[in-house]
Amino acid sequence: MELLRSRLAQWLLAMVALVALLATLAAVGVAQPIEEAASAVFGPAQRGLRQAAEPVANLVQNVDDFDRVDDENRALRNRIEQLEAELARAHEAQIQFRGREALLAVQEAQDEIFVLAEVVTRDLTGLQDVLGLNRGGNDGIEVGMPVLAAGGSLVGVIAEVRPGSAFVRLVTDPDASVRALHQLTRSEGVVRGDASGALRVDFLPHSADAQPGHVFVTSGLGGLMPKGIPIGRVTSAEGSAQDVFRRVRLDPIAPLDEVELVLIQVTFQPAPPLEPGAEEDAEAGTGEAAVE
Amino acid sequence: MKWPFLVAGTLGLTLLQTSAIPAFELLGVAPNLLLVTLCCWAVVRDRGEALALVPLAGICVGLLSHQGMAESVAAYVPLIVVAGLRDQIRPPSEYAWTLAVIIIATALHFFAVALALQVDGASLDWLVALTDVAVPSVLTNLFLGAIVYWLVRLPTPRARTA
Repeated sequence: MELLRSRLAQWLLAMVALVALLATLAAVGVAQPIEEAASAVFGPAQRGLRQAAEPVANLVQNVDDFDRVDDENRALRNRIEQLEAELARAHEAQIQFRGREALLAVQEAQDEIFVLAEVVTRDLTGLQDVLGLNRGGNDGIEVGMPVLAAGGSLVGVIAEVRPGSAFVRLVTDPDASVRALHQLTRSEGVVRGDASGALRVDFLPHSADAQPGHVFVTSGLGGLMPKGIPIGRVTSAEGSAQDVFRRVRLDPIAPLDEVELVLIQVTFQPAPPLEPGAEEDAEAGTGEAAVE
Repeated sequence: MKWPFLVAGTLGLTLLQTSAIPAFELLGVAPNLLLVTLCCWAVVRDRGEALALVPLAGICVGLLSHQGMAESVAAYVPLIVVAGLRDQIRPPSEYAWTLAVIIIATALHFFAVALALQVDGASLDWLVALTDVAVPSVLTNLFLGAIVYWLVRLPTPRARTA
């Protein structure tokens, strides 16, 4: 009784009640309008603070790291040169093979509408890979829409939408999975997030022969993601000839640690989720269906 | 008259924590300035202030981030209990005790958030989370706490008013 009378014990009981109340409000959906209002009021301030902090953070983080930055610069220059060469080759191929299919593909690509959004918050706990964006339901954003980096590579999928803001679950989040294709052999697998911030490919047939540097793109199967979005580049591939699947790890192509602006493909409507039975079949059989 | 300033300060810190602070990663994790400041406050200042500011901070974090409000409040509450052990333990140094509170409160904050995620159905590799998030968070917050303590201590009169 002495314990219950103490101020701390009374406060703890009040906190238990408060947590229970907040959990109940969230469960019945009452908390959401309050969260939305708070996002609307404080979102601009968050964005401003983040923009102000970004250059300072970059300076602080690189101040003792000139060698690494120098190496990175050199590597990036080489990479730009490679990409420019690839682009030129692709351009040449496009000119040479201007068939009906290619024209249709270009037309389709031009029909896509993207919404540009700024990253205003990141996950605070370190346990999830989630970004907060300054665009939301008012801009036509819906749960399940793909989010791309400025270069067109996959960043993640919209996981939660409020009227003026949205949260994107990055492709590296442990709960994220995307059906993917090995670009060279067109073999299918499922790219999953990894707690270490990298990506791994599950269910990739041994015949795929993925090698470091190879690229995986979204397969579009299941209708949860458009086809052909670059996801990641192979960093390691293991597995003996007896293994059914290869163990492949990827680095995401999108610069997820530094991304400040993203594109949300608002013209893409993800397919509705599978029936529970069908989902179990998919899990057991051909691989994962869920993008989130 | 002090309460409007305390509430505004808590809101300002929460805004910083949910926007600018994650840009300053140390050891791969963002320091939790809000948690560290509340730990220092609970040890150095009037405990009554901390009792009011902790749930307020939890609710603000829940409103301004992806975390739920209940989860945030539950993750910040243990710091008050840990800070309250001071009367039983009677540590020789307030500074060392504040750092100890920061270490324990950071660990408990991690477990509360991780547990909430697990209950929510999220995938969580506890071993990786411990090595990649919990331990770096403790070290980062400890480093930050070594500085923030003095920012809270210096303007505060020595005698505890609680």
